[in-house]
Order: sequence, then C-alpha cells, then structure tokens
Amino acid sequence: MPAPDAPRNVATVNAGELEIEVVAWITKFVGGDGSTRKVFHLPLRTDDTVRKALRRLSGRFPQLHKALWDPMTGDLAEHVEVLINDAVLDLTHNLDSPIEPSDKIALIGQYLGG
Amino acid sequence: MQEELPGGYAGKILRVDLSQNRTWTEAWTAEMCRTCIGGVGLGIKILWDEVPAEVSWDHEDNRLVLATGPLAGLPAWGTGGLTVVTRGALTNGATNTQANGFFGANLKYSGYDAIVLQGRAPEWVYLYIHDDTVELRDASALLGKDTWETQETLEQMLDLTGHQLSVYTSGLAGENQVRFAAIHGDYGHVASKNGCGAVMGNKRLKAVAIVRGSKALRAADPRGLWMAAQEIAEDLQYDPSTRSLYEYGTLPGVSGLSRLGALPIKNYTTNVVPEGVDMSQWTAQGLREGFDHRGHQCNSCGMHHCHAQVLPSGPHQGAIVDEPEYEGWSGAGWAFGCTDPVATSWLNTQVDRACVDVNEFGWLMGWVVECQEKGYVTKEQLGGLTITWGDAEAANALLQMIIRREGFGDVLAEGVKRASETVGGPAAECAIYAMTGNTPRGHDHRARWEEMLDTCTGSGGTLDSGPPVLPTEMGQPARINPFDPDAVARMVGGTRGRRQFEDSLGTCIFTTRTLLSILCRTLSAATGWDFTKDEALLFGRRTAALMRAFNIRCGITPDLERPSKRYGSVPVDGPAQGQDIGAHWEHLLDVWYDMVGYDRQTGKPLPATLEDLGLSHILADLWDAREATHAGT
Repeated sequence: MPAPDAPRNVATVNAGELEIEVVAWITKFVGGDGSTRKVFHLPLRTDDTVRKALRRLSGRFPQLHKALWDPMTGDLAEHVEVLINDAVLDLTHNLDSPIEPSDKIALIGQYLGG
Repeated sequence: MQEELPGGYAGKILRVDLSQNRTWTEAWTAEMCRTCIGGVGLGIKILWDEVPAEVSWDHEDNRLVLATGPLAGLPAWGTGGLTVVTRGALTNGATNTQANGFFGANLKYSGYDAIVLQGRAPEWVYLYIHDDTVELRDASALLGKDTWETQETLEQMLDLTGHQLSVYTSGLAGENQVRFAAIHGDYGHVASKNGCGAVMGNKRLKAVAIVRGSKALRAADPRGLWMAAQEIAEDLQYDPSTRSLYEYGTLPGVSGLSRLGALPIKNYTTNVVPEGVDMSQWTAQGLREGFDHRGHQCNSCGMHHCHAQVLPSGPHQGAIVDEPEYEGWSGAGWAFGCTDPVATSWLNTQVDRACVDVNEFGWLMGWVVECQEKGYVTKEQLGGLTITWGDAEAANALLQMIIRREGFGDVLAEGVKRASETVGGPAAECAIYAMTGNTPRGHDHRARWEEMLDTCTGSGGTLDSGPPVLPTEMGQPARINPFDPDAVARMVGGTRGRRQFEDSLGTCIFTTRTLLSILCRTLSAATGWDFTKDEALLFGRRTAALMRAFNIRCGITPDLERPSKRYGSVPVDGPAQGQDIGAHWEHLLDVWYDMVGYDRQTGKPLPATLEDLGLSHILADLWDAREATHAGT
C-alpha cells in the first residue's frame, strides 16, 4: 500500500477485486434494462489502472465499449461519466492512476439537459 | 420582379401593433434569410434595430418576437419550434428562450416565419391567425384562465381540436406581470426564461391562437432533406450519446446528477439524497413506468420524449398531467425538498398552468422554506401559511398567491433576487440567482462550473452555450475535469455559437443533438444554400455578440457577472464537497473573455471581434473612435 499522501500516479502492485457499478441507463449497455444498477467485481491485476480495468469490462460488452471509448483517439468519449470513489475522473484519479481493491468505480450516463 | 427566396421559408414576417390594432406583413430578402436565418438570429436583429436603451422591458415600444426558422414545418423531427426574443423582465436585457409543440409548423403553414409584436392593446386581446386572416380579438372571455383553460376555451370558441389549433399564452402570471412569467402552449411546452410572459402580459395580449394553415412549404432539395433528416433520426435512435434521450427524454437526469452532486437539494443546503428516499423511483424507467402514460409528441417528431401521465395516487389521483422534464422534477421537487414523484409531477403541471418558469419557482420555494425554517420570513408574512421542505400543497398555495400578486405573493412575484433583496438581512444570503438576473437552470452548478460561468456571462437570460454537444467537432476535448477553471472556461468559450445556430432553425434542441455538419446538410437541403459548419459557428457567434452588444447598451455590465452568495457557495457535502468556484471566479472570467474576444473591463465585443463576425456596422454604437483604437491592445 502506498503511504496516504503518496502520488497516485505511481504504479503499484494490487491484489483482490475491484468493484465497478454501472448505474441506471448505462446498464442497457451491459445486458441490463436501463434501470437500477449492476455491480461487477473484476479481479485486480498487477499494475492495474482505471483505464485497464475499464477496458477489461468494456471488452466483455461491445455496446459499452462503443459508448465508453472514442474510436479515433482511444480515450474516453463524452457519453459516460466515470466516478472513482464518488469523485469525478480527474479529481483524485485520472485514467492512468493505479487502483486498489478498496477503490470503487461507477459509470453514469452523461446528462442531456432540459 | 419579386426575389425568389430560399426553400424552407414562408416568406413573410407578420407585424402587429397592439396600440393601433394594426397588422401588416414584411417580406424577407434572400440576403436577410442567410444572415439572420430565423429564431434568435432574426429576433436579436429586430431588438438591436428597434429597441433602444430607454425602452425597458415594460415599455410599450418593447418588441416581442415569436419566431420560427427555415426547418419549422418540414419533415424532420421536432420541427414545431418557437423561439421567443424580447427585452425580458428579470434582466431587463435580451431574452432567447424556446418552446416546441406545433406553433412553428402552424405559423409557417399560414404563411409567416415570425410574428413581431409592439405596442400595448387598450383592452385585453388575443391574436387569431389562419392563413391570411389575422385579427386581434376580444379576450375578455379568457381573462383569469390558466394556460390549459385558455387553450380549452379557445378550442371550444373556434370549434377546433387537437393539432388543428396551436395556442400560446402567458396565463394568469402574465396577466399580472409576474417577473418570471413564461409563455406556454400546446399543453406542456414552455418558453420560460427571463419573464417573457410578463412582456406578453404588459402588452395585454392574452394569447396567440394559430389555426393550422393551408399554405405550401417548399424544400429546395426534398430528397436531400429527407436523407439528412433520416440520418439525424438514426443518430438519435442508435448513437449511445443520444439513445437515452430518444427513449426517455431528460428523465435520466435525476438519478445521474444525484451521483455527481449536481442535483439541487433543499436550496443548495445539501447534496446528499435524504435517507429513506427510494432512488429506483427516480430512474428514467421509474419515472416513466411509475405512471400510466402516453406519448405527447411535437410536430413531426419520433422521439419518445414528451409524454402525458396520470397520477396514480395521492390527493390528486387520476389527474392527467404533463410528464415533467428533468427541470420540472428538480424545480417542482428536489430544489425545495420534495422527493415524492407523484406530488412533484402534480406541482409541475400547476406551475405550467400558472405559467411561470419552473427553475425560478424552485429557487423561490427553496428560499422561502429555508427562510421560514430559520425565522427570516414569518408565518404572518405568508398570510398564515406554513411551508416545510417538500410540501407541494403549500408550494402550490404560494404559487397561486404569486400569480395573483396577493399578500407576500406580490413580493415573491418579483423573483427570488428581488424578493430576497426586499426582505434583506440573512435572508438575502440564502437566495440562488445570477447577479444579472439570469435564472440558473435546474442543477446544482457548484458541481457544474461550466454552467455557472455560462449562466453568469450569458446574454439571453439563461445559458448561452449550454452543455457541450459533441465538443470534439468544435476542436474541444471530449471531456474535461469539471473543476479545472482553465479547462472549464475554455470549454464554455470554445463551444460558443452552436446554441445560437440551433436556436435559429425552428427545431427542438433535443432533435439537433447530432453533428453540426449534419445539421448544416439539413439546412442546405431545405434552403438550397451550401451552408458549412464554419458558417454556422460564425453565425452563432455573431448572434451571441449582438445579444451581448444589446445588453451592454441596456446597461448590463461585467460587474454583474457573478453568482449570488448562495449560488456561488461551497458544497458542504456530497461528491463536490469543498469545491470552491469563488476562489477561481476572476480567472474563469479572464480565460472566458480571452476566448470569446470581448473586452474584460467593459464587456463589449472587441473591435477586432466585431470585424471578424461581420458586425463592423455596430462598432460606432459601442466604441468611440479613441477607445476603439486602444481596445484589446
């Protein structure tokens, strides 16, 4: 475990499982009905990052993959909000931050106003 | 010989002088069609040309522009659009606000692209339009009626039903010039911003009733239009970014925004959903399937967005209401602590029938509840009424006082900014508003910095840029850190112009959530132009700059571009806890001003910006020669 104030962008060795919660509308992309939530537990691998974990999940669900990633850049598209421990991406973690078993990722649909 | 107009246009602007009981038409020129397009592009030109500084929102010489656009009435989704442009009551500046339904199509089929109203009728009237018959008729039978009753009464009087007749009215709130009165039509469609309904009421115009006309509307390239419209429809149905909008409209907003700290709860006092609230009721499916419902689509629209629903329980069980938009669930619910979907749905329709802006209503109710809880506003002041968090019945009682300007309702009818300033003391610190008078949309913008910046700098009474749509097409990143002030200001400034272009087409913004290049192809097929994305953005930025210039002329200056104390406060809990936009406010403005090419000190578009946008002809109105030489250097 890194020290509490160690920079989060230093890769570390992880073990255990990571929880990814898919919320409401986005569950449509992972075999759900678009309501409530679905929770996935992914085995963590050495040097896992947010990006790698999301890639592994989206690799199982083509519709999620299409919604999540920009095919031109390979980065996240704008359609899905990614929260890490209830904080939006880039606040405490970026895509290449390492993750630990205690971290929780949530995927939420982008807000479409009005 | 009469000049041939581009396709998509009816060809005439209907002028109405209410003081003189006179109507006449003006023809467009082909050049004017291309430079103004329609909607806000046309409306702001009329305001700039015809509403000088001394003509305030309640002056009879103010103009009320009800405009469509070249796509209205054509066979593409959501093409019943109405754009209202006027000098509005909350900011006393420009207003750009939209509604849908059937107004735009019905007006075009009668042969008009827009209605421009001026003057004030000596007695209450309504405007009747059916092809070449245009009459100001006695409205005494409609006085005191709410929006739905007004439409029902006119349907009976004119012996018309369904989509044969489109009626837009400002209800009782408009009659009494409530400063946040809206213009409502076709049972559930509202142009709500900046007190445009107060302007309508000030003119003693109770309603506009348009019979579906019989005139032909021509697209320059019908096959090209059909293909482009089909491409948009497929995009809306199958693209992951818009599929939820296609199926459920804005209903997914509540559950999603609650997880981001952007759902406004109890007047911004918390961002944590109260214990015991079943959020499964608040998902899109929960809100749709929790009620008996049926589609209530706008003109030529295949979206599963607008619906009517039946209240399944509670004191108003069985009532038919309009399914709230996200902002209805927020303003008639969460903003003042109501977490019961049935009560919120009922109250939202009462707000529509009363004809006020649901966002302003939500901030006002949240403020009253908090003030009464803290003893800043007494039960006696409220005429013996006690209102607690989430009490929809009491909120409706206050709403009825507001639209009649009864008792304390007269203070509240001025909107939350002025009401809180009137009460003063600590009550003034609890109110949510932008200092310009712009009403914040129905989110907690302390977790959506882009929208707070956009609200405070916006020139049309609401957001100018709005949430970014496909920002990479405009050279912006797909996503940003929402609390990075530099990135936020660049995104708001960098996406400027798209919204004004959309608001000029005569369509719904939910059916234009596709690539700008596809919208340009649609417009080109309709008109026969070769309209490009660059021209669309130039047009949009020119329109935004003209709105800004109009507001500068009206005395709305950059010192007002900031949030109220509560609006700009730091969230005390939830996902955005501790994020302090106030600490970055000046930097946000610095970057934004640099992006849009306006002068940071005076707020004016810089001379070079005016030239780039094709607005050199207004330079002398904004800058004297010496200032112009040194501005921006």
